Amino acid sequence: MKEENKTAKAITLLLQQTQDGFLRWEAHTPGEDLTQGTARLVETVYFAEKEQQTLRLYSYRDRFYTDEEVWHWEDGVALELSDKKGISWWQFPGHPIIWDLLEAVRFKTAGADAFIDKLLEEGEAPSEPGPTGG
Amino acid sequence: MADILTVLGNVCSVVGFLLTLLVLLKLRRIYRSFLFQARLPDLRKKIKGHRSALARLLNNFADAGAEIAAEIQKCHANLQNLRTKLGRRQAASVTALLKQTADFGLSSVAPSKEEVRRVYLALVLLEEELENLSEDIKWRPRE
Repeated sequence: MKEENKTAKAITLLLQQTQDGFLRWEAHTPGEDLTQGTARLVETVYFAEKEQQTLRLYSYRDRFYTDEEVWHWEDGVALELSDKKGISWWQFPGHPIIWDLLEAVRFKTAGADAFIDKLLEEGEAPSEPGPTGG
Repeated sequence: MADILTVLGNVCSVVGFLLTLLVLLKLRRIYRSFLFQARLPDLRKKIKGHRSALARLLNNFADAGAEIAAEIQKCHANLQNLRTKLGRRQAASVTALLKQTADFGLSSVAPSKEEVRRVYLALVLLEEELENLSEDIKWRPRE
């Protein structure tokens, strides 16, 4: 199996387990290694435990300089093996499907699934008559 | 002498005809290659969009059956378009994916999560193939 296919299949597996709820992620504020001494912006970091390893997932914005004072933001996403404190040991090779994983993790951790279900239940339930005046 | 000239004329006609065929074939190849190079970035973007949309819909699979079927049908149409622009060898994985996606949404039985995931994974791998192909094109000798 080609190395790139192997990575893609591994990330796809993480994605499936996240969608099925077998892999649980927790949202945290980024640690010092992501915020200090760097121009990188990171908002939320997600952690999950898998095979006695800690997975760390986050999206970031980097300043990309095209001239001395001319720059624009570039978005990126990283999936890493890290320790419990959030120090990265190894980063998965960049792959566009890590964005899909991040989307799934956000969907799960935000409780969007339950929220939508509840909203739909409310919509289907017969509405109670309001207080009648007079 | 007249006979020799006639034979020579006939031979030249045949050679001329063969050369015309050769030029036509070459032109067709140039046209296909140009079309492929011009359209590949856009088709890659569309495949990426379908892959990403499927991942998003799989997050809420239970409520997204109709949307998934619609997305895969759109994807099927773009795959058909892509296949016409690829060579025989490169088209193999697209052909396999076309077979996989042919009946989505047409049968009364809703596709299973596993079926949709197989399509998703096939799209991921196809995207990688197309990326490699677009890198290869940069190093191909000009026609």
